[in-house]
Amino acid sequence: MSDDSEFAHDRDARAGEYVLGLGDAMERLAFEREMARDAALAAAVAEWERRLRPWLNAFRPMSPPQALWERLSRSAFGLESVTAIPAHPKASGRLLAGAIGFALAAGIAFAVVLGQPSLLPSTTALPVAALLPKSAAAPVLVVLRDNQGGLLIRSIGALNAPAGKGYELWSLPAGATRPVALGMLVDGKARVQANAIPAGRGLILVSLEASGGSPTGLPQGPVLWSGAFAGAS
Amino acid sequence: MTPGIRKDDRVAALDDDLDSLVQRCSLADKAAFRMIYERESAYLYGIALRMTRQPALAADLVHDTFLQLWRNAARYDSRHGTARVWLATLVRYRAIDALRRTGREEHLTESPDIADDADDALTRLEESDGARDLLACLTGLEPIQQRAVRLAFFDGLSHGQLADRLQAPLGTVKSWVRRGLLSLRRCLDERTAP
Repeated sequence: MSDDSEFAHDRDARAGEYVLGLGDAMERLAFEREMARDAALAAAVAEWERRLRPWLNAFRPMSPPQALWERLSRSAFGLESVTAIPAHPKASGRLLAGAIGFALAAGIAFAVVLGQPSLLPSTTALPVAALLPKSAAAPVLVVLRDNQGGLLIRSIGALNAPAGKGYELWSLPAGATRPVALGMLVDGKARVQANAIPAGRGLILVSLEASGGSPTGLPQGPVLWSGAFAGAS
Repeated sequence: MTPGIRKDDRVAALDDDLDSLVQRCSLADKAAFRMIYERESAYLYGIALRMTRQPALAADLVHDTFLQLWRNAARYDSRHGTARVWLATLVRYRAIDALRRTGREEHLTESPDIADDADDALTRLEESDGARDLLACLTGLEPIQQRAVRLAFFDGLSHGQLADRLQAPLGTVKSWVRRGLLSLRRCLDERTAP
């Protein structure tokens, strides 16, 4: 065997050891510096990553902590959480502006998702807000305005309430202290008549209630989705 | 009356191509970022938690990996594997680096069933696509080589930790791993050769 072949042999083994992760912190750092200068070494690492790739599918998915998305969104977007309900119903202007910005960005994306003819209601509906779940496992709800001025709420993904429970929709205009019931979600869907939509800016919330809705006219269960909304001014 | 949304259509909509979602992240598309999080966070957290055995650290690693995605999505190159593989590789390397910084001896003592977990992972491997060649080649290794390679990949053990775990001298363990890797490579290259 030539020296070149032995050298290649050693390089390949070191690349495999790096991909497995066997070295200590200093060894890994030194290897990464060497890899940045040595294209053949980087290629050998890429080859090992390709060979061992199927093993990445062998890890069992686990639900991350519920608060992780909020933390991540703060880190990524530089906002206070866009999913949290403000402690005081008078949401700060910054939070509301951020939330509306997110909702509009989300709306644009959901327009792509919903742009498939089979997903669109028969009316020409435009996404106007996104209701983000407190749990990362729950689907996003998208709010669309139909051509009669009403709102359509649609779940992006299957949504079924626990037995004996239902999801109730509420509006909370900016500055208000009591939410107003807008109706129940049925199979992840709801429609709000134009004359029931609050004017101005505020939040739309969805809470978990008894199957027929809250008996008191105010949310009794936890708020599981929320999103900023701008009605007609 | 509005027509309902068919379940198949929902699934198809949700199965939006992850690679294109990553590309949208490079254009600062927050909704795309959220969709990737919803789809992949449990997978990435499962990797981080399995390797570190520390929920808070695993959450930190997933947080940092997604932040890296958000800030560096433009660096993703689909020629080097799918976005899912890219993210999984990022979080796995982050877990290894974190383990090397913090050590994990305490977790080894807390997890005497660690070898059983590796077997559990291999059971799932049999169910995954594209894994038959790797599994066939792995089972062709000597049992001790196979075990060393598995513990390194799935549990993030270093050479030194492997030596402790397998109760063998460091040099012997290094030799097991190296010979195991080279046998694995030879076998895989033969099986995938045209």
